[in-house]
Amino acid sequence: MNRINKNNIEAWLLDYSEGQLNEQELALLEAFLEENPEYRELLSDFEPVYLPVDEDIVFSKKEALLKPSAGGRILHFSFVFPRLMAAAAVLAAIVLLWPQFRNNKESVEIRASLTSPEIHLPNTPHVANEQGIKRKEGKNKKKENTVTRETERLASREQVQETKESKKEKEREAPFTAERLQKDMSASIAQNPGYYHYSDIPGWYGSKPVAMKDVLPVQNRETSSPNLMQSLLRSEMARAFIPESLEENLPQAEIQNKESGPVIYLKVPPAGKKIIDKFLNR
Amino acid sequence: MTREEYNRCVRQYADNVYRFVLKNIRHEADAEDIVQNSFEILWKKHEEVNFEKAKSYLFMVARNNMIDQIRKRKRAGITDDESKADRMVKNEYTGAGEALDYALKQLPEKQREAILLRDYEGYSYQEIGEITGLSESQVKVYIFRARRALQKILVNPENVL
Repeated sequence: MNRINKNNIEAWLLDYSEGQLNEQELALLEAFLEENPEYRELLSDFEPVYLPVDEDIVFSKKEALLKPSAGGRILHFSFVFPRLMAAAAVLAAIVLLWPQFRNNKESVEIRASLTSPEIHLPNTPHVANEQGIKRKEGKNKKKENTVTRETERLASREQVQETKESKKEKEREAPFTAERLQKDMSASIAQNPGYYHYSDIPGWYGSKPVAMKDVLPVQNRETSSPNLMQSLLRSEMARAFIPESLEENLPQAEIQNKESGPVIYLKVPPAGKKIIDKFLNR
Repeated sequence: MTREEYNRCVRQYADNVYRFVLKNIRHEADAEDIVQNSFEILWKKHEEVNFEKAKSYLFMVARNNMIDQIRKRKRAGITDDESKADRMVKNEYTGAGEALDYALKQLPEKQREAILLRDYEGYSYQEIGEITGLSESQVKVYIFRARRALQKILVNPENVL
């Protein structure tokens, strides 16, 4: 320690009160106090006060400070949901309305061929007189049959072509697995920072299959509504075109306040478990 | 420092930093903001900060944030609740913890910081010096003065510094 002077005497006195001085240092201090008795007063009635640690004071927002592991992603529901739901709605609309649209298109063509064959028979001449019309009607009946057959043939060809296309599309599409779901989700949420960590949802978004239980604990990164979590799962199931994803089979979410912070639990009904197992090819 | 080490820092030190800041500025919302900001800064610098030094780094950042906050509050003319001080002088405090809190509040800023780091966090005088930018000897001086002052205030609340 440095030589004792009036600037550091209190540091020496602190060490003295804590029993940190060796014999040589004690002798130095004693000599200084002999020469400067006014400082001896500082020790005369000194009874150091130590502060007890107040364990009751804790930081309640620790979970929000944590950073997810490298494989995980974080969702900001308020930002992601409108997009997810909008995308799901558009997709659902297309899927639901496409067959109707195609049927309408075909039926319009067929009706047109029956009522105004000229439209589809460009080389048919116009007839001015009744005889011509009657004669033409006879011919038209034959042609109507021809047009109908032709339309049916075209429709059949379109159906075949459509089937081929859908097959090709299905071939292009990888089988649905947990990895694929995670990849898809990672792509969709990569630019959206937020508070939920996908890898914290066992069996759903983690790359490692986790034994499915009736209740799946999900660590919540920030206080949020369980309805949001539930909606996310629903939209994901809808996005994956799972026909069995009926209302009653969807997971239910509820929030519980634990000592470590709020935790979301997903309750998966038995039928829901089957769907999830199917998702994960188990 | 890795991501896992950073998360370990959050779990191990968030309460300590929060306690340290709250005991100094006595304002929960501000203390929470300071803790969050400190960890954000730690995360930004996590590749440069060693895990072993992370706790000291956190306290240093929190302390700097705290000083800024205190200055802002002073500029804005915001003062602490004076009624508590009045009650203390009138010996209306019943709990020892409350009395100690009051006594701590009366200490000058540097003394309070130093004694909190020493007693709450168990830092060595050298470490406190690194966090506060003081020499080891200066830290000891401040802590000696703080202990004497606490003793005086607790014996007689009218001995406010």
